[in-house]
Amino acid sequence: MEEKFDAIIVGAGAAGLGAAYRLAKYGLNVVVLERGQRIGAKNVYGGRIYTHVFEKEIPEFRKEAPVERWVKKERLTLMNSDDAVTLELFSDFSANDSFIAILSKFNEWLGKKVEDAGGLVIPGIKVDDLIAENGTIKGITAGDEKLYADVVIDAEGINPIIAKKAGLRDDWKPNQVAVGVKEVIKISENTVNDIFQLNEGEGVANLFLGYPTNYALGGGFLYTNKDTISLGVVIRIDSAIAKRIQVYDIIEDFRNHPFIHRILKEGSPIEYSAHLVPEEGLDGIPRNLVGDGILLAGDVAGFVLNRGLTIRGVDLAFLSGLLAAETVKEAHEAGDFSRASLSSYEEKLKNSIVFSELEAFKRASGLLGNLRFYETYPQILCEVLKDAYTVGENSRKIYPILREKMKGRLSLFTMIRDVISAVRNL
Amino acid sequence: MDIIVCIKQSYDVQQLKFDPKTGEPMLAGAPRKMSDMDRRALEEALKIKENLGGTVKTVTVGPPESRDVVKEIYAMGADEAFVVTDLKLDKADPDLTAKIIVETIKKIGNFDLILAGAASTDDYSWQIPAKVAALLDLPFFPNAVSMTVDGGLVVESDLGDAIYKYKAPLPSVVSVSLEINEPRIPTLSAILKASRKQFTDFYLQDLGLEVVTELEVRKVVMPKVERKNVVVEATDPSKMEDGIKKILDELRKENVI
Repeated sequence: MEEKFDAIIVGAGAAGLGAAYRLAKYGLNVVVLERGQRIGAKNVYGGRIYTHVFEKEIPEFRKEAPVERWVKKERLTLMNSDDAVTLELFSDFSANDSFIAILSKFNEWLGKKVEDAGGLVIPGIKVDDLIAENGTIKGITAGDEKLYADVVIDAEGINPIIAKKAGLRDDWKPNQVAVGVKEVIKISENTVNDIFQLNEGEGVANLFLGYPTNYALGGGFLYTNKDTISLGVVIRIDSAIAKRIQVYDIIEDFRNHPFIHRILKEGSPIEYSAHLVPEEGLDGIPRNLVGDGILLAGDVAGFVLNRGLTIRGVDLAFLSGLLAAETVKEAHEAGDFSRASLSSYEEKLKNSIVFSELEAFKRASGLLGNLRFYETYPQILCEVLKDAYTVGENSRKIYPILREKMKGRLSLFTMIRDVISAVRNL
Repeated sequence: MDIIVCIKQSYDVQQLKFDPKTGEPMLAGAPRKMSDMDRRALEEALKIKENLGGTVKTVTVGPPESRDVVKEIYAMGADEAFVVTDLKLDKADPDLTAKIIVETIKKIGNFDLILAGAASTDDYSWQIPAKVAALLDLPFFPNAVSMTVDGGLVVESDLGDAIYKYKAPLPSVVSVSLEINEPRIPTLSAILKASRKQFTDFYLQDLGLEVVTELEVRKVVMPKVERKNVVVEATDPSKMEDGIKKILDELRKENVI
């Protein structure tokens, strides 16, 4: 093929489309190759997306983006097999808001934005390999076909086929990734509003700890879409293996928990999907994010922030794509696509919220590996509160109940240490 | 030979979800794709062009999302695409659709052959190609399982009771079945070449038409399949015989055996 592109982007997710959007706006000749038959075909996401980067980059964002609902209530629920304790924050989040979206629809919209800006997005093409000449990446191969470009932006997602070929990253280890399963359950828009006490367009983001993962590392989630509910479980792979958990079983149990069942009894599942999530934070990011003629952006680079109460990835992916595009533009102007020239990308990332946020919650990933937060605390809290609220002949105060429940399961010292560590690091 | 192919951007029925309560398809934002039989009509036209030369032009009628099909039409190798869109056309009945197709064909001008899928992937009415032929006063050969054009048009039509072999005049309208060919998958280079190609966008006023549908669709629902949910407990191996007997009784009751 004769046509040579300024940049080839592998993967039409938030990172790849962010890079393509910016590059197309710079007037560069860019093509995004996507393995799925449609943009978004491979996306699985709960999911809540933070607005800030999108709003800054795409002026018409608020008017056009396919938002299901704006988050109005944040909930954390600790669960045992019968009971649930929920903490809810009801607030005006408008200064720093987030919305619930179906990521595949959202990315489809981003894809349209890229095309409107003059970029090409081609689904149904699986990139198999890189073309390297003297160690420099010159393009990609897809089946028998070759496509050349000055630079390749690898935004392939969690499965690092291309990044491995470029020698930029290894396969994920079981303690670095979680597996997520998600169901979309159809109920009506009014039912969603009634059950969760929401006005039109308002939504709930609910995280769950304890029973949903069968007390393994991870959590459950529930997001209100317009007229459906996204319900899912995310479990770290090593923990799922250690506890011999089948993720497809566990979501059934979660859906049938009395707390969830009463919400969803009217509905039935219309969609089922599963995906991997990078969870390692800063430590999961490869040492080099650029090579000669190639940059990594999004999930493949591990840009996901898990701070326990929230998991963020889509906004960070999009921002990393924008920064990759800025770098490519500078390299284009300098006519130099060597690793040295592209390394300003790493600087840009370090000066951006991608790294500052991951840095701030650096110790969260260690803390979130503490099984007590998933196993012991949800169960004890449910039991203690249940007893405290139970009226009987010999009602007791909370403290003696707590001591009784902790017996043999948790020392006071460990609990205090965990609480301090959680407050400090999350 | 100059060929015109009618191509619908259908709902991708396999991706379609149904509201479990009402049984109605959830059409808002549902993915679409080129109708399966129309894709084969285009493939057949491209094969003829590759053999004999000429042009392949396409006509697409539908709601604005239908424009998305053009990329694929060009990637497969068509020369020129014509699209007529209107928000209201999602509810067009076969009469109106055929009328619009015919008016568009008149704008395109000369042709030797018109091809179309025998039925669309979503509505599956089987009416459009025949109506187009009638409006143009051309001979119509339905449901072709094979066709050849060198030395005159010969069409083999599957009419249910048998396959009929016709010597057909030109121009004619031929509708094709799923088994006529295996359509090509466009290569990356073909997709790239096609990606910036322009197409002609018509609106109904360009054709002097407006949306008048005489057919009213009352309801589209999924057929209800009620499961019997009969569970035969047979956990005790010594009582397996009883379990088997119960299963057989159930099957007999349903007249399955």
